[in-house]
Order: sequence, then structure tokens, then C-alpha cells
Amino acid sequence: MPEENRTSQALTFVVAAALGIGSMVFVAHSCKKVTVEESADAVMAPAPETIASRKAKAASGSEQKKPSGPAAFKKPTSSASAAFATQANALAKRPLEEISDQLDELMAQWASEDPAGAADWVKQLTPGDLREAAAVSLCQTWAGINPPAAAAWVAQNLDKGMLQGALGAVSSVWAHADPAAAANWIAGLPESTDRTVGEVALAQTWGEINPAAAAAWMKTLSPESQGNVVQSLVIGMAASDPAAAAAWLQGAVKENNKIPLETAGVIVGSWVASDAGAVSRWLNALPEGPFYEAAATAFSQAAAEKSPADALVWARSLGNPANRELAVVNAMELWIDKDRKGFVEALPKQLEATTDPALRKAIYDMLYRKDPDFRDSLLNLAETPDTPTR
Amino acid sequence: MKSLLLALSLLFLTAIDRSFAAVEPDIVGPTVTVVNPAIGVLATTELVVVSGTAKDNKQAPTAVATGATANTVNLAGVRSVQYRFAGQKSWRKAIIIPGTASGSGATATAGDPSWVFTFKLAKGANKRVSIRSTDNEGNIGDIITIRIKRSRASS
Repeated sequence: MPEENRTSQALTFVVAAALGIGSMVFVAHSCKKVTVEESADAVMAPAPETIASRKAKAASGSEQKKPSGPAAFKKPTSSASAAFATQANALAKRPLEEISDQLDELMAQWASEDPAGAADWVKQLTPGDLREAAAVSLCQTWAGINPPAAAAWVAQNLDKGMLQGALGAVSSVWAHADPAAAANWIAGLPESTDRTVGEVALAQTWGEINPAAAAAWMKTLSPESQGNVVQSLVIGMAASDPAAAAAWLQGAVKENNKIPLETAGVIVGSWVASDAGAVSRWLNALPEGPFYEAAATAFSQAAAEKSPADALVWARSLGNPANRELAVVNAMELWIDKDRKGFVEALPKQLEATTDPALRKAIYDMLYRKDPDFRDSLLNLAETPDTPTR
Repeated sequence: MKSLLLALSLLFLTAIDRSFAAVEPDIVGPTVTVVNPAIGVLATTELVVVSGTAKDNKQAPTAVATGATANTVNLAGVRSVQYRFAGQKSWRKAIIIPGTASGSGATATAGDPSWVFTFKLAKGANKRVSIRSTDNEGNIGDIITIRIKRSRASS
């Protein structure tokens, strides 16, 4: 099996699988975030544009039609930039995993003082993990100072899946200052995975800062794009009010069948960490159906972390056989890990309660996989023993 | 007559060959995709939600394929998604949610399952987390490692 170090620094995001478009490689996201306020104090930082001017530019589509040309990115001629380049070159000789934090700091400082110089240094790097990480760090800061300039640089240099972390960074940082302008810029990107990356980043950030506006924006996207961004949007919304996010999702899936129902499970998985009781009450109020099933399947697994026996009650109540099997087997497996003795004592009753042959077989398979010693006891316990398949 | 027998023998051998090909063992693990946090985006809250999807190269026979039930869900060959933080040896299971099926009858396909887990992160801190998935045959897919950082100016 592949070892972890093969992917130690880089994040292989096969967005294709989730987004149904194509595959690509991204670098781990990282870096220091510098707010507009912080960056504006930086020495030699370009004057931040006003939101009004950005909106005017966005409204005129100037970001898409007239991306900044090469003249906007001067060579790092200043002594400060030369010093940054020396430090960056020294860092670049070491493994990325070791220098991530230092690279964040350096790129943030460099981007505050001379973003064009920093961008030139990033651009001359060999395409790969370091370049991607440096670009993200650069854009986290640059987009806080001058979003259109950072966006134009990213748009100019996007190539074959490269710089998508930077694209996400620009989309998110710009969204903090002016989400509508960020959305307008993203909409102007070519229809590709790049645009989807931007939309997903925007959805998460906008969902956090203004759920209602983000939800309204999502409705302007195609049904397929809505399906792509909804997971990030709802997680962003849930950051401040998970109950409202869950309620919104319930309505959204009714309106658009491209929204994956499993998103209900994702929001439960995030919400349960902060208020399991509220999730339980919400679930009890939901009508039965696929939406409830997805949510309850997730809840059962989360509950199993604390109380596998209670989780089994939830798991057995699921109507869909596949969901039931997943949740029951998961709860039992966690029970074994937490309290093997207690589980062994409860096993006869649990098997007795399992009348579905397929579910019983799945339990046997799990037990045998977990510990072949279970095999003998299983054969003694089962009224009609099924030989485990492995 | 001889050539007819020869042709039948060839057909028979081809069929056997194909049947062997059909039962070739699956040795490829599922692919994991991270959807959230979106790439390039800093975490802004203490509770960080990591979510995504998993996709196996082979889907196990499912209720969808045999029963064509609307909205039937299954794990599409994925048994589990696991994660661990840098420095940890043991893997923890993420919550996994079966994907929504699409189509019907023989053309029905199971949707890729989604997964989710959460952890807490202090302001300005970062963590590396590795994620992998296992299929029903026990094959473990490629491990992906992401670095998640929380902004200093966050809630």
C-alpha cells in the first residue's frame, strides 16, 4: 500500500470524483491569513481599493475582460524583495513539510510589501507542491490587500490544475471583503473545474458570513453547480447556526434533486460535535424518507463514539437496509473497541434481534474481520450459522 | 464438421478466458476527495469540519442494481474512511454517509458515499491530517494529507 510520505506535503484533491469534471492535483492549503486592516498598515503596500470601486469594477466585468498585464508584475528589484527572495530560495531547498509555517510567514510579509515581486518568485518555481503552497500563502495576503490584482494574477497563471489553491484563497479572502464581487469574478472564469474550485471556496466563506445572501447566490447557479457547492455552503452556514443550516438544507433538497441527500449526513456530522441533543430533537421531528435516513445514519455513527448500545437502537430503526447495515456494523465495531467484554455479553441478544440474514452476515463478516477468534463463538451462537466469508 | 468443432472449441475457450478475466481480484483501494475545507480556505472557527467523498473502482452488487428502488443508497464498494493527525499511529473512522443512487433498473448506479469528521483547532494553529479509505475487499486507497490552518483573526 502506498505510504503516507508519498503525499506528505501535498493534498491530492481529486475534485473530479466529487465534482464530476476532471482530476487534478492540489497542494495542501495553508498559510497565514492577513486581513485587509492588517495589510493596509504594511510598509509599501499598495493602497487598498475601496469596496465601492471594486464593486464598480466587478459590475463592469473589468476583472474578467482586462486582467492585469505583465506590466502589473514588476520584477523584484527592491532591496527588500531581493532579501525576501534570498530567504525564500533558502527555504525552498528544504522539505516543504518542515518549512510550511516559515513559508507562510515569509510569503505573507513579502506579499504585504511587494506582492508583484513575490508573485514573480512564485511563478518561476517549478510546478509542484512548493509552488502551490507558496501561491496559496501569497494569495491569502495579496487578496486581502488588492483582490482584483491577486485574482488577475491567478487567472493568468491557472494552467492544467495548477494554482487552484491560490484560486480558492483569492475567492475566500475576497468573499470576506466583498462576496458579490468575488462571485462576479468567479462567474467570469472559464466553465471548468477552476470555476468550481472558486465557487466551492466562495460558498464556504459566504455561507459563514451571510447565509441568506449565500443561499440566494447558490440559486443563481446551474442545478449541477448547486450540487457541487452545497456541501461547503451548508458547512459554512452551520458555523454560526447549525439548526438554521439544517432547516435550509431540508428545503433546498426539495427544490433541487441535484443536491445530494447525503449532505444531510454531513451537516449532522458537523452539528453533533457541538450539540448532540439538538440534532436528536431535529431528527425526531423529520419525516421519514431518504433525507431522514442520511441524517440518522450519520447520527447513529456519531452516537456510537459515546454509547454504542444507544447508537444501535438508532441504527436498527433505519428503514433502508444498506443504511441499517452500515450503522449497526459500525456501532458494534466501536463497541468491541470500547468494551469488548460488554459487547460479548450483549452479542447473543443482538444476534437474536437480527432477523435479516444479510445484516446478520454483515455482522459475522465484521466480527471475523475484527478478530478471527470470534468465529468459534459465532458458530456456537448462531441458530443457523453462516460461515463467515473471510 | 471438423472446422465447426474447432470454431465451437475456440468459442468455448474464449468464454472461459472471459470468465476468468471477470473474476480478477480487486487490488485497488478507493480514492478519497476532500471537499471541505475548500482548498486555499483558512478555517475561521474552533470546530473544523472536514468532509468529502470516497469512490471505489468497483462497486459491490447492491440493492440498487438488483431491486431498482428509488433513492436506495449504499456505500458503492467503500467500507470505511479513516483519518489520523500527524504524530498519531492509530486511525479513527470518519462518519460515512451512503451516496444517493441515480437511474433505475440495470442502469442504476450508486452514488459515492460522503464522509465527515470534526476536530478543534486554536487560532493561528495548524494541523496535518491524513485521510484514507478502505473498500469491501480490504484494499486501502492512497493516503492524502492536508494541512488545515485556522486564521488568527477568527471567531
